[in-house]
Amino acid sequence: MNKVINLDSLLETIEGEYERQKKMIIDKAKEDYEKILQKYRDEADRRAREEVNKIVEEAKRKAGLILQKKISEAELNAKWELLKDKEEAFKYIVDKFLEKVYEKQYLEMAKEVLFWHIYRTLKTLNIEKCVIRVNEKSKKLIDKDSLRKKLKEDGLKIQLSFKEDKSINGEAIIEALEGKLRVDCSFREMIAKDEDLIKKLLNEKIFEKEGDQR
Amino acid sequence: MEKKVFESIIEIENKKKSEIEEVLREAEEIRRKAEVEGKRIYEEIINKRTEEGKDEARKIILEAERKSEIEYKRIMSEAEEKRKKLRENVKNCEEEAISEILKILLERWKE
Repeated sequence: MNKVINLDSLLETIEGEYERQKKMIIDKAKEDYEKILQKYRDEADRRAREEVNKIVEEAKRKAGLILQKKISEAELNAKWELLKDKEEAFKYIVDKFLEKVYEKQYLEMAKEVLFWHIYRTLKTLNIEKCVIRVNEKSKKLIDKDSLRKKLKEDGLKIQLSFKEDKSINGEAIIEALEGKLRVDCSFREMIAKDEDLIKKLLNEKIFEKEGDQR
Repeated sequence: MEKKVFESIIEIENKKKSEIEEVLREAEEIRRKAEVEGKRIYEEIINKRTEEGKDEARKIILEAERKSEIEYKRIMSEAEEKRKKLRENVKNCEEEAISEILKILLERWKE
């Protein structure tokens, strides 16, 4: 009887040991299950952070470009509009100049400018005789005697003659070599020759007056 | 009698070993399922977070567009002020401008 009890007990012990092992194996597998899921979660979290960071950084870069592009576009448009206005203002001032330069307040200075311009031109032309064509309006601007006197003082022997010519639009035209040489001595031409300088000074003194217009 | 005991032990050992093998297969299946589930979770997290990132990126771009429009208007409005001032200056300083041109021309030809 004792032997039978001992055998049952032995078999129970063996069975119990195997059951314990089975439980251990399943428990370990369940533990591994959680660990594996956690490993994937952690890896996904790390990778997602990297991806999101990349996407956001790229968006910030693009945002910076969008802003910069729009600012550049605005600055360019603003500059262009201002330049157009300055160009129009310059044309307007030149037209006003040509319209009003014969008025009393400017007349003396206008005479002086024209005198020096014609004198300098004649000095450089190296001619013996010439005709200075003027129109009805501009003839009062030229002091013929002063011009002849000045040329004589400088030892220039140029035979000067003056002709009224209604067809000329500018103030004077120097004509020499039987009409082969013609020099336009109009205010418009003088302004055109020094356009850049005049624009620069008008810009500084008039257009951008009282405040920054650049 | 001893032989019978031995046989009984062998018999139960064999039975349990077979059960252990079955449990081991079950444990492997649990781990395999964990890999499958893990990959699914991985994809789900990546997709969800990437979409959130894209949403954030869209907001950043929209905000930049909004700000750039404001900046554009500000710059153009400043420019308009400058243009207005220029027109006023031209209108108010017409005589001064004519005198300036005469002065420039005189300096140029008299010198």
